[in-house]
Amino acid sequence: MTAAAWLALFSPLGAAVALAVLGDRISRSRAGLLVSGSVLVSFVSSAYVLARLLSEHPEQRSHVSTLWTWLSAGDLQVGFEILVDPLSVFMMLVVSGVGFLIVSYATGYMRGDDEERRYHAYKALFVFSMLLLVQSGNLLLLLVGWGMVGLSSYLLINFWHQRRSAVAAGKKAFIVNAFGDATVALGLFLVIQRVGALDFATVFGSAEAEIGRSNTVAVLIALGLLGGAAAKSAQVPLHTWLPDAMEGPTPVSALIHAATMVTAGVYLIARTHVLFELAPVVLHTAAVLGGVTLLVAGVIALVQTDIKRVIAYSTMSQIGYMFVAAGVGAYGAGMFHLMTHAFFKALLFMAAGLVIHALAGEQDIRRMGGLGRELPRTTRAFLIGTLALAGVPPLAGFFSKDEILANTLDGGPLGIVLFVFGVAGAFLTAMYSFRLLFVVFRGKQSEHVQHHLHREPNEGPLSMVWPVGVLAVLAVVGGLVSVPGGWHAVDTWLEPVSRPLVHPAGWMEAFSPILSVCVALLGIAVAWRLWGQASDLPTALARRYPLATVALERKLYFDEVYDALLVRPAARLAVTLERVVERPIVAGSARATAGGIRGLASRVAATQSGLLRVYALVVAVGLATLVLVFISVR
Amino acid sequence: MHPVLDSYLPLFIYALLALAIPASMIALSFVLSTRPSRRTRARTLPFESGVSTGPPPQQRLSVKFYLIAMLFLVFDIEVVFLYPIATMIGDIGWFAVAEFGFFLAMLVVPLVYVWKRGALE
Amino acid sequence: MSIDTPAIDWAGLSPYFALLGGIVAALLSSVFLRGPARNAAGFAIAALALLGALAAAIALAVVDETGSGMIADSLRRDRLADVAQIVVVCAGLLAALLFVREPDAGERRGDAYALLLSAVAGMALFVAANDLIVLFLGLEWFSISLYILCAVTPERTRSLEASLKYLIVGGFGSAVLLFGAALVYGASGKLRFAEIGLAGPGSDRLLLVTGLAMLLVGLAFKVSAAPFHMWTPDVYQGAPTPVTGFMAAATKAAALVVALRFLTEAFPGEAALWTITLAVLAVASLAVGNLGALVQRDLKRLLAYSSVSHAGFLLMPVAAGNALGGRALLYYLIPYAALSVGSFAVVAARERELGRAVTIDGMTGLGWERPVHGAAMTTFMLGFIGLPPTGLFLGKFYAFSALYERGWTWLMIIGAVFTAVSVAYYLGVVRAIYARPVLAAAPAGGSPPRDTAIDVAIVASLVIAVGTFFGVDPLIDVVTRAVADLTFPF
Repeated sequence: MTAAAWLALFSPLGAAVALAVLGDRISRSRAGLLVSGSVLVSFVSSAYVLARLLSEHPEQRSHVSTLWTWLSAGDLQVGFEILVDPLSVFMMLVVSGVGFLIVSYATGYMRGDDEERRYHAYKALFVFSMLLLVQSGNLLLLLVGWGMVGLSSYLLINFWHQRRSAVAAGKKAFIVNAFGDATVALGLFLVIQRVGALDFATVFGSAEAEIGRSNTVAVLIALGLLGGAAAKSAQVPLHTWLPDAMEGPTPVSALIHAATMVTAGVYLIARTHVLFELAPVVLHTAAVLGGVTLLVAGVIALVQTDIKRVIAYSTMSQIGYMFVAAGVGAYGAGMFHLMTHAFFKALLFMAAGLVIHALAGEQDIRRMGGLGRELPRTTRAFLIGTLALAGVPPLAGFFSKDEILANTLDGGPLGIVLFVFGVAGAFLTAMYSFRLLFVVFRGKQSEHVQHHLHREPNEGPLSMVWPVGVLAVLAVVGGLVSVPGGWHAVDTWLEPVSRPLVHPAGWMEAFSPILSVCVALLGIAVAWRLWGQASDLPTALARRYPLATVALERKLYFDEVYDALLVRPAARLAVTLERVVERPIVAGSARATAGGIRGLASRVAATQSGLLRVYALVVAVGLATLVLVFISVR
Repeated sequence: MHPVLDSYLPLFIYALLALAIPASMIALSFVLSTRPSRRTRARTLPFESGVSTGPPPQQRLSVKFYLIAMLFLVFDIEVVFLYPIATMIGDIGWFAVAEFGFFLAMLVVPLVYVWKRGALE
Repeated sequence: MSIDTPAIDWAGLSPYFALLGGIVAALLSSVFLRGPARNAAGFAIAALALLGALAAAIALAVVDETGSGMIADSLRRDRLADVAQIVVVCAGLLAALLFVREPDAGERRGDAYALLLSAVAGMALFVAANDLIVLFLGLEWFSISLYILCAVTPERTRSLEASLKYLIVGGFGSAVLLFGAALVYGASGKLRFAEIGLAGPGSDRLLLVTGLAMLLVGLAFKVSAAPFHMWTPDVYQGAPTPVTGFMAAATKAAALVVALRFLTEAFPGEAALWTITLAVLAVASLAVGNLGALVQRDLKRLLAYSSVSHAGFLLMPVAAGNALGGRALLYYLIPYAALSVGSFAVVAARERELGRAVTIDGMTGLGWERPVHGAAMTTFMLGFIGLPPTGLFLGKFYAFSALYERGWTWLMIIGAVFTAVSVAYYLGVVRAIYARPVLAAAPAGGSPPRDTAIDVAIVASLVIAVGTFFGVDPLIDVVTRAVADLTFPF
């Protein structure tokens, strides 16, 4: 069984290495096939692992497999080890399954790009990093995977490196993620110092005894982990990189980020929940961050005009739900939403990709409209995704979101607040998602659409269409694995790894879905009123509340604030330092040093005259010096 | 007497003898020769039974002779090692014979090599 | 009078027998065979002999933990010697692969294999030396083989010049070492390392330290530590690239292992003296090597200076004089040897492609034209800096730990500073590798036929270099056992 897990891990890496080695000796289409095949291998092996785990007793479903012990210094044993347990298998399935669909889709989307092969190699590397992150059996390896995910996402966002905006976005994503990496690393140092081990079993087993509860160290460790989780999962205030990351070859990278990468933070909290529970303050902070994010992102999504950015903000908002779930201790609910979200968000991104593909790269929704008649299948797929996102029963999003809401009700006073946040978020979600649907697919065709729409027999190449179909099916039925009042397959499955802290009562499970469905329907109705038909209400509203509109369009000024608070002062500090310190002192000395080193270097090289007698002389002098010194110090 | 000197005494005497013999030969040739008072070119020539002497010795030699001389020295010195073994062969027995054979084989291999390389032609 | 037949440790001597048999066979095959058969036979014999020696050394290391003296205790067979022999033999194997298509070797290729085997055998003897005579014998054996190997491509005048320079300067070094050995013998009356150490207090101190100084100089020559490095750039540049690769890896490894054993066993009483001397030599090598490398354009010359600087890094753990340092030396040596041979292998491949000496500009576009070579060279360069994922990262870390334990933080700082300096020229090479090729720099010699042998050598070096990063635990185990028998002064 662990062998299958290793296979799942290394298969994408093998594909990436093979592509790097083969260079252009492999044809483009084969490169795409190779990568999709390798990810399919991962998925099949993960499914096999799942089947094997299912046949075991729930309490015994945890297997550590060590390939080798990298370092053993005293008690600290760090090895290349993976952990196979319900949580990691769950994530493996999501990452490799959705990853496989994305990768297959990308072979169609990227066809004809100059550096297609490089793109496929990056993708394979990304899947490997993600799998390493979720499969690692100790905190160090998890950090390695964490960093590698950041690196490969940087490479993907940067893929079109001729575009300045792509490079800037890549840099932003990398810096924010590096900040997260750093806080995680600091947390790990504290863990090593206190516990003296890094493998999950030991750390979690002795955490309470070695670290203690709610003291400074526990809080610092949890804060470090939370910093990484929030950065990777694009939670307020570390969310600014995600919308910009849509610069990558869209929508594929967008998709990779939305469906897999950003869930890493939720996984981290679920995995290290023991450490978080030692510092409930931090756990609650995570929940509050999630609640704020889901509202903020939902509001911003209402006014964005770039199709991918809308979906990106929607992603942030949904991850916010997962953070809320994890923050109140409903890990199973969080992971459940993670899974269904991966389905319908991937579906939305792919359908958006089909739209962009059909419109020759146009992404501005104001230049779309009336596509419903032209792209009926895409419209249907988009509709399914939107319904699932808005939480309309019986689609996937309904079950998972309501499970989260029900769980928050059991979370005490804070839970109630979060519940209100969540319900408000549900309203916003329904509103912005249907706005997108209406604006893009209903109404009159814009001039742009009339000129640029190019129809294909299946509304896209086959390799792009079939993953959409699969995901549409999953978005419809995916929620049925867990039904309120009925069964909670995900919860039960993850129970041995992360025991939930909240247990919603029957009335909560009944009350929250009814309320949220009503709210969602209300949201849809408002969206219909505003954007569903020809109406000047939106513009009137915008004219009535200009400040709010502008604020939302500027994404609540997060970028501006960071710019003013961090980037600009840093730049100004740099300029000042340049003027005051750098030029007269440092540059002077550095130039002197560099020049000196260079001069010294040439002089060293000059001693190498090639004349044997000089060499012999140097040796003789060296020898004489040594002998004289030895004799004199004797 | 100092023990070290004691053990090196034979060597010292041997070295003295080695110096003395050529020195005495040169010295005697000066002492015993009848040097004519008036030097002519013909008189200083060595007597070679009427055959005129060869060309002056400072001429260039082919580098091949140098190579052959080197090879001669190498093999000559190595063969010298056979003498001590020969004197002890009775005491050491078959081991010495085997060693002897191995040593010879090791000598033959380079010999074959230089031969086939054409260094002896 | 009856003389006891000496007991011969056939098993212990088996690596030597494999190599000696190989030398004989290679010599004979090079004169009795003609044409392609000669080259094929030469390589096959060399490979077989080296693999045999490797297998023997590994078997000895695995089977027999405790060391033993051989041939009247003049040779020492222990884990340290085994590990050093494994390193040297592996370097020989890789160099043999590089020779397969060395274009300038021509007729002499058969001889080259014999000489390579001879050099390996000499080093194998050298690292097992347990007394002054064998020390000198082994040194001369492999040195003379290397002098000739440098001239094995007689059509290139640079190669002849390198050989002659190496011969003369190297002869000087050997003479100094021999003189030092004589003085030490004169002072202590002993030849065996351990006995010199025991006799230390009773011997003539003046003669002893003078001899020690001269022995250090002789060894520093072979390590190419400054200021006794002067031959290194010229010889590395002039010698055929496979030979350079072998020298860089094996000579240094052998000389350092011998220095470690010799100094700890024979001069425990003078430890303060030789540790400080080695530290000074290390600093000098770091300075000269790194500064010299900064202004080089020729890649082989750059790598030669890099080799001098690494002599400095390698001397640091020996200078630390503690058990940690001994382990660090061995841990450093193994990836370092792989990096050296590997980088010179890439240079050799590029050289054949361009048909001329490789400068840094000559590497332009390698990463795009030959992705494997480019990636390998990049890894080697990063490895030389001491970055993961090569074992040198841990080797350097280990060496610094040894210095820390000794309390020589100043030397650590100097090492760190020069590591920073080295980043400049190593990354310069990487930058060239991944720069977009300019049309003018297109290969002049056209594309040579695929050279599988050199690819195998490059990949093997890469595997070793990276493998030592991942296989930390087993390797630490190996090096710990290897130096377990030595007693360190600090």
